[in-house]
Amino acid sequence: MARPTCNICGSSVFGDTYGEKDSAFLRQNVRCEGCGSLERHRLIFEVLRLRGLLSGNRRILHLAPEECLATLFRSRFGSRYLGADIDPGQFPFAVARLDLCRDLPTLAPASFDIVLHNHVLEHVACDYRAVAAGLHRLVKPGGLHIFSIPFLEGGFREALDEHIGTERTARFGQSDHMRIFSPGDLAATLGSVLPLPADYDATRLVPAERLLAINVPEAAWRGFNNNAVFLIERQEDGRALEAPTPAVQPASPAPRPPRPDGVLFVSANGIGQGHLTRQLAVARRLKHRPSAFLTMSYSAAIVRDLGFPVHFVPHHGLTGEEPAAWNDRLAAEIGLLLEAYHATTLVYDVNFVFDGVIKALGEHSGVQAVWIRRGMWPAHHAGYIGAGAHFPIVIEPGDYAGECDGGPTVADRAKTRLVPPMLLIDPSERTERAAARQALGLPQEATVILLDLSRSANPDLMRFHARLLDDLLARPDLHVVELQSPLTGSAAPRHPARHHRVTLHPAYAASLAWDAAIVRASYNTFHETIAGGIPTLFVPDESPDMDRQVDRARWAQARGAALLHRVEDGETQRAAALDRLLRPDIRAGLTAACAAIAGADGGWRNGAETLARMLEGSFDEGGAE
Amino acid sequence: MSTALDVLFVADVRFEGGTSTALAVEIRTAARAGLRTGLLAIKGPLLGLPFPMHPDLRRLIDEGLIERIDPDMRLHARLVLIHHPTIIENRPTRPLSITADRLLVVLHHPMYDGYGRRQYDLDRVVAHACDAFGSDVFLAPVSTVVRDSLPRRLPPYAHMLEEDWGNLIDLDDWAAKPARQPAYPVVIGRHSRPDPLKWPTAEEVLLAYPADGARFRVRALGADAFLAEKYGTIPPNWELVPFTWDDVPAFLGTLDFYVYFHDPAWSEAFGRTILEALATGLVVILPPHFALLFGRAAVYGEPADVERLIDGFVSDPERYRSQSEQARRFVENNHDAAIYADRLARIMAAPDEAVAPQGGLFPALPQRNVLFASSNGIGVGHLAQQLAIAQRLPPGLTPVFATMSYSMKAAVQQGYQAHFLPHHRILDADPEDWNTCLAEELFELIAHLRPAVFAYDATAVFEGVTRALGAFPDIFKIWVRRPLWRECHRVFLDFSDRFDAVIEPGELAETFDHGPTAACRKETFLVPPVLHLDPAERMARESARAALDLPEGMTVVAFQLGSGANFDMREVRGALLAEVLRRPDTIALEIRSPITPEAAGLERLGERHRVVELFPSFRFSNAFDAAITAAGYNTFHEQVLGAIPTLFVPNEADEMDLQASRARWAELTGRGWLMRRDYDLGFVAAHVERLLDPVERESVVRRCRSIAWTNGARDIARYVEDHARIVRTDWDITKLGSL
Repeated sequence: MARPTCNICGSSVFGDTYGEKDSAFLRQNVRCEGCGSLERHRLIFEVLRLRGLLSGNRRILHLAPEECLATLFRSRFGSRYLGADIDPGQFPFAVARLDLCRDLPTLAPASFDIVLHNHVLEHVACDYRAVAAGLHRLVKPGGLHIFSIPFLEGGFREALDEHIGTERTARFGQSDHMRIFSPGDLAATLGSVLPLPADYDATRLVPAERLLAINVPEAAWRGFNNNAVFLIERQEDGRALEAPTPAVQPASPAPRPPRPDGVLFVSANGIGQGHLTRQLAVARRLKHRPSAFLTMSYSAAIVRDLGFPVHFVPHHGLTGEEPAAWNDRLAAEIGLLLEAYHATTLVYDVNFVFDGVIKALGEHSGVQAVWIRRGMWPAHHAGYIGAGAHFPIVIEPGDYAGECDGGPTVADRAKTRLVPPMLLIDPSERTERAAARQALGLPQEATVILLDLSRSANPDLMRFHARLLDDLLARPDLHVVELQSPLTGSAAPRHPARHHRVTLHPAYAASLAWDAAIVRASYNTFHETIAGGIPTLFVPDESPDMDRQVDRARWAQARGAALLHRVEDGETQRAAALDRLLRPDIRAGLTAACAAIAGADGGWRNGAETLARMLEGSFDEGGAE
Repeated sequence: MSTALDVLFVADVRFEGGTSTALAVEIRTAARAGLRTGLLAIKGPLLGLPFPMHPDLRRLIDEGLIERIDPDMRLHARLVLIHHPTIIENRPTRPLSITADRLLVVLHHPMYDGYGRRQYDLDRVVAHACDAFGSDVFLAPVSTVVRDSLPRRLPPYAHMLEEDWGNLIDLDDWAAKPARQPAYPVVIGRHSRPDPLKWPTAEEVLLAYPADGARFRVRALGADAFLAEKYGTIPPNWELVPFTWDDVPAFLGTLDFYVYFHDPAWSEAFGRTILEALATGLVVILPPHFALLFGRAAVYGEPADVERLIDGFVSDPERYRSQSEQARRFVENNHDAAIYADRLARIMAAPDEAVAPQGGLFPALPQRNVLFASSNGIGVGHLAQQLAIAQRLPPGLTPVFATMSYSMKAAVQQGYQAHFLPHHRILDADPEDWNTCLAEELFELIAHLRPAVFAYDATAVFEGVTRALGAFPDIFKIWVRRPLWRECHRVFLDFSDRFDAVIEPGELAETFDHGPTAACRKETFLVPPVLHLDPAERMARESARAALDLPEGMTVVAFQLGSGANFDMREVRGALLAEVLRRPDTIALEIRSPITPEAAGLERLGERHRVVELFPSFRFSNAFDAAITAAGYNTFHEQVLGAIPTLFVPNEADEMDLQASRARWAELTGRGWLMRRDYDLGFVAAHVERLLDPVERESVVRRCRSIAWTNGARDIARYVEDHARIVRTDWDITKLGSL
């Protein structure tokens, strides 16, 4: 195995910790000679890196700032980074003066994305619980409070009076410690003011092999220890921990809160995931209403993986049932689910409305019916429009290429509410490029192309996919990623090193890992591409039952935001399209054009968020645009 | 209604080194972040020589990642970024209608150099930036070194940005070099702009870059003759690679150690080249003062320590690997271009406070005139060269011609407005009076047209021209000046400083040029030879033959020996025509210049002697099997670059450039033949026989085609385009009254 390397600075030379010779915390071979980092700093850096928290304009408060992290934070977050200490003079760089015992009220509550302190709480010469809670209050809801503290066995002990140094070393491990924490009673001490976990295991934060690679020795992995890193997410206001107040038991048990109204999402789809994905986008943005799913999609597992209950109903084509009987059964199943999940809203997302759905809605007249109906229908679906009569609310997720829509839904727009395009994941939620590549086992430097045309029922596209795969692998140094649905069987890769088959959902979260993509122009993929600025060659699925993918792709091509290739185009066009896609300057142009599209009209907004807010507020005002 | 931008970059786009490279990375990253950006080009006082726009910046405009901005546009930008303080040290010479939510001056240099000399006047920088854009100025130093050089008390309206405007690198452009253990002989290298100040003193240089070839190879990019001037001799183990903008990553990939020591007179604010070396993962050895900037990413010492430091790494490959990894990681952590979007977002007002620019078409740039002035009475050369440039200008620029050439109709036929300026010789005017008139006429023309660029094309610079130009200090003035001058033209060299730029079109026979301009070539913008038409734009052979009614199967020899007004070619022409026509299968196609007077008496010597008026005749030249021509600049380069086997008969009149040298070059390099009127008249038969020998012709064609060439007309047109919309701060307008 390669020698352990500091993940912050790259050095692989490690020395012993500094400190008083009688300190209880001396360790060998863990201090990075390059940047001075210790186990906890490397672990914190690794977590921030893996979670993509090293970019974006985050506000960071860093107490007793260690240089190895401070330099990097300053470079990346500029004036939004605040390094602070009670004694700024001891630092070779700019640090603000902050006395934790006195000055915390001067900082605005919920004003930092990350509050970070290592081995600080044992030094403060006042009530450490007040300081810890005060620091926690500075974290924005959803932000992180990251810290570490020293431990010795033998129970928590503290002395705020004037002990001399040697006594403190003997009792608390170091001459300037006011106290020492102990693993056995942590829950009763610091745990009384912060929501600490019951135990600690570093491998839950970072895989074991990676911990070894960045020189975090196994001794620091499990159990509360000096290099255990606590990452505490600040909960939404209301559930956040307030300053410690004397525990007063309520006189009587609090009344049980009323059961919230649920939302039942119903969709069809065999192989595809489009409808389901759009519904998930909405469901994961609901804050107060629980969601449940009924679907005919074979990808039901992705719903379960995101933590929602899901009920699979195979289409009658699969079971061989009589359609009428099947529809009756569907209506019955929907009815049961509406009751089981206390659902007062049914959100449907398929062009064709099954009789069973209509029947269920008729039997539950109190249920609010919402039809998410995207545009770009093929003309021969015009007959399905009439089913809109059963849905008082029709939501049309915007389509960037909507101006090319000549389909049947256009005439019906008067009763639809147009919301921005819907995506499961916002472009900004994606994993950073380097981290995504690492997670997928892709090389950092190589050019990586995503090829994803085969997950379709269209045999032409599947053949074309195979041909493109060979073309791409024939080019030296190019890495190709293929997405596998859990349904596809496994086959040997076509190239031992440069062909990567991955099972990944949602794949979009990792999309910064590829330099370019070759994909269909389905609603979700198309909007993910444009909103995320992924340089893309669209190969539209032109089978007659699909939406008008070719129009979307043409629209993007005309704006310089994507390349287009049609399956029937010839060999030479295919090679030329690949050549273009592989040129960095062309790709930069595509990305810039995408950004111009996504940035128009006030920038990216997710229609799923809009619908979620409607579902939790009202459909009458605001929201719709 | 003004146009809205997210970021307006204001910069002298001609800087050769790190300043422009850093700017290019910023622009590209801003585009990637979806920001709408514009580039306002400044001609600052630092670069006196006619440098063109940096190719990286040019590429960004060509790719549409940034909009070119004209100083007359009404604009609002959320952020205006002035790159480099010196470009705003003088007041801009024209008012701007650009407003900004925030105005930033990026300080790329410390205020004082290594000897304590002031590099720029911060008070003036702030005052002028503030006046030009009507907003307070935020100062953004690129590094701690620059920050520390600034006064504690800032000028009025100036604020200091809290964070450094650190240089950024697009790591995708700088691949980490392959892991390789160093072993003797190790390769030490460096790269920098070709500037002696970027190199250490003669006493120290061999310590830092040892001459011991058994243990060290030294590779330096951006080093040439100036090093020999600085140090005397160059050790044999040193390899000097000329400065280039491309391929720096590949160059760095060949090194084991990057060692950078500079002259004590130089004060390095940041050292982008060092950052590039670190990004490549090289072990970098620097003087100790850099430790403030690069920390543990590099190792530090004096020149005398270099050998010892290197030895330490050679004997411990693991340390070498670790140091190399630290170098790359340092750049990733602190200078990755990906940081830039966040930085801009921090500095720009939050989008809810300011209205983000809407999409839609960017307005067209305002129309501007370019005035082409040329001399030439009987010739068409200067005018043809200017037409070559005019036709390659973008739509927003309107060419207008003022010429002394009798061939003015060539410009009119192309659809351009043209004014005729008669030379004093045809008026038989007193030169003094004539110059006064010329000055007045030109003054009126310029005052009327308000050209953004004045392009002059002639060898002689008339006093009337310079007098008129003197009244318009802000117009950008270009002198396109061909080489191969005769000694008697030397007096005109003194006029070079009346122009903002001297451009020299390349000359194939350059090595034969020892004339007055040869010594000043470094002060000009050199472009490849200029042709009116690219050879590929010519008609196909069949079409050209059909157009000229030339039957297949006949050998066609084109004749173009000039008007003969100043050099009598009648006898040699007659002899050559007769010899060509003596063969049964030939056609002699005599091409008359549009200005040949009828009286020149081009009597036809039979059926197979044809006389045609063609302009530009080069368009038809695929129809010719061979040619007999003079060796003026345009004709000569057309014949050779168009691969037409040609017998050159130079016009050796005293006032002409050295045509004989051109023809001699062609003969000695196998790209044509030379025949001189006064020496070779007796050998006409032999010359024609060789010209018509298919094997000989084939050999000339092959040699001609081996020349690698691009059309300099395109470079000049781009140069004009880039300078038509500059804001000038290269001169101090406040002193105009006292100039």
